[in-house]
Amino acid sequence: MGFVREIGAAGKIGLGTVIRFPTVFRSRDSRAEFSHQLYKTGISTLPVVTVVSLFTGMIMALQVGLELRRFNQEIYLGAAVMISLIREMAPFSCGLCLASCVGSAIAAELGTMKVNDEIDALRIMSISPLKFLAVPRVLALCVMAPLLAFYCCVIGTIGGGVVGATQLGVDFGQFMSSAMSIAERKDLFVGLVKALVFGLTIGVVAVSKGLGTKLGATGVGRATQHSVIVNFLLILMFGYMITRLCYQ
Amino acid sequence: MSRSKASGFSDLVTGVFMLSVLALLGYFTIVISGIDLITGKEKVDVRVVFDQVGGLKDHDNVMYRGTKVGTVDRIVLGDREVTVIMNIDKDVILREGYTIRVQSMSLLGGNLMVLEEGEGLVLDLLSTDFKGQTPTDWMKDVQDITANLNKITSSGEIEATISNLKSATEKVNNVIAKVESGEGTVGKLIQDDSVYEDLKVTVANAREVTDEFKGVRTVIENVTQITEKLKDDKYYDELEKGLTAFRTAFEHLDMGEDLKASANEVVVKANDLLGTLNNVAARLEQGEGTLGKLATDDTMYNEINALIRDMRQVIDNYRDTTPISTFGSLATGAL
Amino acid sequence: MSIIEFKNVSKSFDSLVVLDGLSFQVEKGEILAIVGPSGTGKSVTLKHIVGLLDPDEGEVTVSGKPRIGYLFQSGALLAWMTVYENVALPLKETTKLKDKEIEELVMAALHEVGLEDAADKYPGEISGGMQKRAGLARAIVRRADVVLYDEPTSGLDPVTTLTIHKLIRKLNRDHGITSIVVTHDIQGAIHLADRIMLIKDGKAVETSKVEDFVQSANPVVQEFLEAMKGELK
Repeated sequence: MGFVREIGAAGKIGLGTVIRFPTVFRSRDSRAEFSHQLYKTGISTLPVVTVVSLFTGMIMALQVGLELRRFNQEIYLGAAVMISLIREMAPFSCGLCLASCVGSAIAAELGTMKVNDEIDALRIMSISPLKFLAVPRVLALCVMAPLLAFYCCVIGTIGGGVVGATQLGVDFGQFMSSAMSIAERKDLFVGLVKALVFGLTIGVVAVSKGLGTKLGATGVGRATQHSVIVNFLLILMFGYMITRLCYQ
Repeated sequence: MSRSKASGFSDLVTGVFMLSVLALLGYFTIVISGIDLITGKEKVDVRVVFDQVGGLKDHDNVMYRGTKVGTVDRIVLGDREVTVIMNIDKDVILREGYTIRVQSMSLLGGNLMVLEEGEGLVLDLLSTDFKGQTPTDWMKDVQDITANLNKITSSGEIEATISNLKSATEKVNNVIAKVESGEGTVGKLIQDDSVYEDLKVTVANAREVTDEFKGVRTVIENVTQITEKLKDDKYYDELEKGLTAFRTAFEHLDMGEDLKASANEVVVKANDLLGTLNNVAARLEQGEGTLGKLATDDTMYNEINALIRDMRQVIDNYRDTTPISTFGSLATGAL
Repeated sequence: MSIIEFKNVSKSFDSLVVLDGLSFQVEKGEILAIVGPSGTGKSVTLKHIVGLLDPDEGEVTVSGKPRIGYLFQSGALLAWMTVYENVALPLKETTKLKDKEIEELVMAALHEVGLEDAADKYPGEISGGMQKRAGLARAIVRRADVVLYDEPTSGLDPVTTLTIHKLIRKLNRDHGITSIVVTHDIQGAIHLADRIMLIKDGKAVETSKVEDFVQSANPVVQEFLEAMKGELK
């Protein structure tokens, strides 16, 4: 029962946040807050995202490259790395980074505000916490997640190319041309949509876990932990579902 | 207010990041949409209709003169055919007699579309519905050939065909050999111009006998016809073509040694026949033999014609006058 | 004339009964102190007034649509905003006032609580007492008719406590702000309030004027007063 109620509450928060998205552009203060959240979401996570995606691309290139070499088909290395990055790995690794860096921070921040009565204070001042707190954070995630996913894809491909050139004897230019020749508009689109869904999911889960915080500091810790776990699970499940939906 | 200064900087960084990623995204979208920004080449969609495409997939490469000029954009399944829409450089030239085929890339799979230019008039890439060659399925071809050969050999069809052909060729050869050696009427006419000389004498003498003249005239007409036919290249060419096709067909079929030997024999004999006919025709043209002379020398024909005209007159006169006077005038008129 | 009225209000959280048939009235312009041991539902009572909580049973009536300010125990200032921005927040978010007008109102509110100099400081940079005063400035900036104080002096030194008490009195006197002060500091309540209500086990044990409350023969009141005196000693 509690689980179902929690999902219901999260759904209400998600819907309430999404329908309030336009309010972010109404005042100078909310625009400023939104751009601040864009910075926190996109730029603060950039170092982590860069390292994660670089190594993702490198590992994939190495693993796939060694197999391809057995058949003298290294020319397809770029294509193999690109296709798995753009469809799956880029949105996925970017989603995990955002869930652990940004989602957890949102859950902790809102959780702390909740136990400090700041959320109640906003309500008493007739300020919707969803509009004031959730909208700029979730919207920033929705905007930044696809951009970061594409950034992951680019960095991962470069990483793969470097491994290909240095360890597998695949020319970097050839790697890139193979990568570009395989990429399809649909793959890019599906990858970006996936990242968008991940961004929205991470935001909604983090906000609802944060706003649902109870029992002081312990509660904040638990909300943060739960938001990360739930987000990881949902990223995996939604990732599969979208792939299933788009590639039959 | 240090916060606003800091937020100004963070906004700048965020903006720079977002714009660069968006620009990259835009570039990437354009590149994978098939517009080559680096070389600036414009691409066009070209339709090729195939019976089947042998495993060709979207985004397989399209090769032209050994270089990649584009990719397969999409494959549309039709009623009885498959239409491949390929996105290729605008500069590609296809002419009448072009070929478009699907070629496998490696043992692991993967396919290419290969375009060959052709030699006729340049075709418009956009408005032409190109026809692709059905990809060679070697396994299927080998199976078909084996099955057909089995059918033919087991039913004895091929043996019958070959033996019929053999006997037909032998007969023709015999006839021609006889003609060459001067046997029979035609043979003599060709071989020996004494008949011509005789004929001349006969014509001179024949003014006495009407019936004989009539017979000679018929012979002459027939011979002319035969000669004309022999002179006509068409018959010779057709025969030669048939033989060449026959020989090629047999060379490509892998059959038993016996069959092959028989077939070869037929071909050799048929070739001999052709050669002989050729010789005969050549000799006729050069005016050798009686037929040759008849064919090339029209004075004889004219003389005979005049003879017949005179004969008619003689016969008419003969009815009115005495036989002796008739014979006398006939002799003086002819000489 | 009562501005707020509770009629037999009950509230439970899971199996824990917090309010159990609570009834009382708040008169316009008075200072009512709600006292009682910890965990007896004093804060829950305040949250019913502003609608943060709804009663399971009974009725809460707030007449005349008063503007209600609320001073939380922690101050509940937003950590990433300056004192000025915190106080200006309800005006910016809920009114269409121009920046200039907002500035006037905010500075007036800060002047009331004596925090003009701390306007550009972040909550983390000022003391607890100042945080409460900033919270109070935010509570009154929209010209509140009623202000609810949730433990306004807990954790503060006696001097600061006195300052806060004086402030509550001043706002009540100068602007006629009806005040409900939840506190477990019975001495403070006696100094500050017009009336005192003692809650125990979710019920109003005694509600009376300060002089009557002190003289009350009610054994529960007596017990409570004794306990507090003992604590003070």
